[in-house]
Amino acid sequence: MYYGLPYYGRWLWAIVRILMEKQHITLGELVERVHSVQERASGRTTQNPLEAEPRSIGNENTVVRNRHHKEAVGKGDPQCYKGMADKARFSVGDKVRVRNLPTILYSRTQEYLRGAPGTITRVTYESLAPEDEAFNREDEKPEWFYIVRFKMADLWKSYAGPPQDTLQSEIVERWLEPCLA
Amino acid sequence: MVEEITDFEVLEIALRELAIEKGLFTAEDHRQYTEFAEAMGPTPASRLVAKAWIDPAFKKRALEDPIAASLEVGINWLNPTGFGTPSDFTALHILEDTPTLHHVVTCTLCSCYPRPILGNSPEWYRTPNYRRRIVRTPRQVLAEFGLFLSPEIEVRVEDSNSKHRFLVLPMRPDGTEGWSEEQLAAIVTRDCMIGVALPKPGVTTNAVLPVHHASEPITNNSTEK
Repeated sequence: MYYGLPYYGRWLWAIVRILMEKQHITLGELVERVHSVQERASGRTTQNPLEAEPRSIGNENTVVRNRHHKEAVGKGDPQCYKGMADKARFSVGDKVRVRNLPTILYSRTQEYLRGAPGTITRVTYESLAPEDEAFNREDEKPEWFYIVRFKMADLWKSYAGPPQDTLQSEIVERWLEPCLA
Repeated sequence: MVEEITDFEVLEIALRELAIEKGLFTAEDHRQYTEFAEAMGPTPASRLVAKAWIDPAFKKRALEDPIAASLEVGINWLNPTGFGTPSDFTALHILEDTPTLHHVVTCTLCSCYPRPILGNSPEWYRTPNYRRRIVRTPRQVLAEFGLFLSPEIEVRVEDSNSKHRFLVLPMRPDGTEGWSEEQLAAIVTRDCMIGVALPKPGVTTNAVLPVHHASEPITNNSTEK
């Protein structure tokens, strides 16, 4: 599906999943509505564009929301998590290695970085780890994130560029371990 | 150009109607967010770079607190929700090029991009082709954009896989002495701030990538096979 759908088609598909998983809409409601809109769209072209025709206006007070609309307004994300993580384990200059944890369902730690040795160049912010944020676990503890710098020669055996070329990535604490070598 | 309404447009309309009926947002919210999305472009970022070139104090502010510096070019990263957009967040970092360091930005996981200040990403930035290859063979990919860097320079690829978004601050080119902020901003193209081009006097557009035309293009006559 990733390669089959156009770019914003993927975004739209994700919205379907999220609205259903958060129980804002049911699949039945969506199917009926798409059917209705299709009938309305039939025979029209982009010269006669389709408009949204909501049948009522819902009560916003009944909507269960993420905490952002209360806790992050005026602060931003990741600023809203400031002060919530334990003390940062790593500091600028530390030698670290990206752990090769199993990838089940989701990770934002790239496969090409697993096992790679790097150096902490910035301690950036506190935030929910991607594995928690993606599954709406707002109740989990935030962790520190770091910019880690890698030598390209350490990432790719066949790297043909000069030895000083580097790559940086932003990695959450749980994915890093001290590199003793 | 196809004229019929696509399945995606139908799905979007259906979702929007249900969202309004459930109270998730109002039609007015949707209008405001649409305007926000359509107003995004690279001009504020070009101005930020031009200002940094002219004013060392602004450059220092931009490097130390890029979100605050964005306000000085009219961009508030907290918009339009009050806590930022869901996929852009509020964590900008500016990557300063030096005579021995050249940055180029990507997001190998998806296509994260500093949209509030730089506008929407170009199509090629979103492709697996760019995202996979720029982290493996950056100099070859940059060469395809017409950018050839000496082996003395360090090429640093920034993979924006978390909440930080990155903007490249390229070096100010020779031949721009005494230029106004406006003149400088005109040569700081979107491609320069991703890192696939260098600013040059006289060059005010992005790279034009070659198009291979279809040998049997679709015409507007829908009865033709």
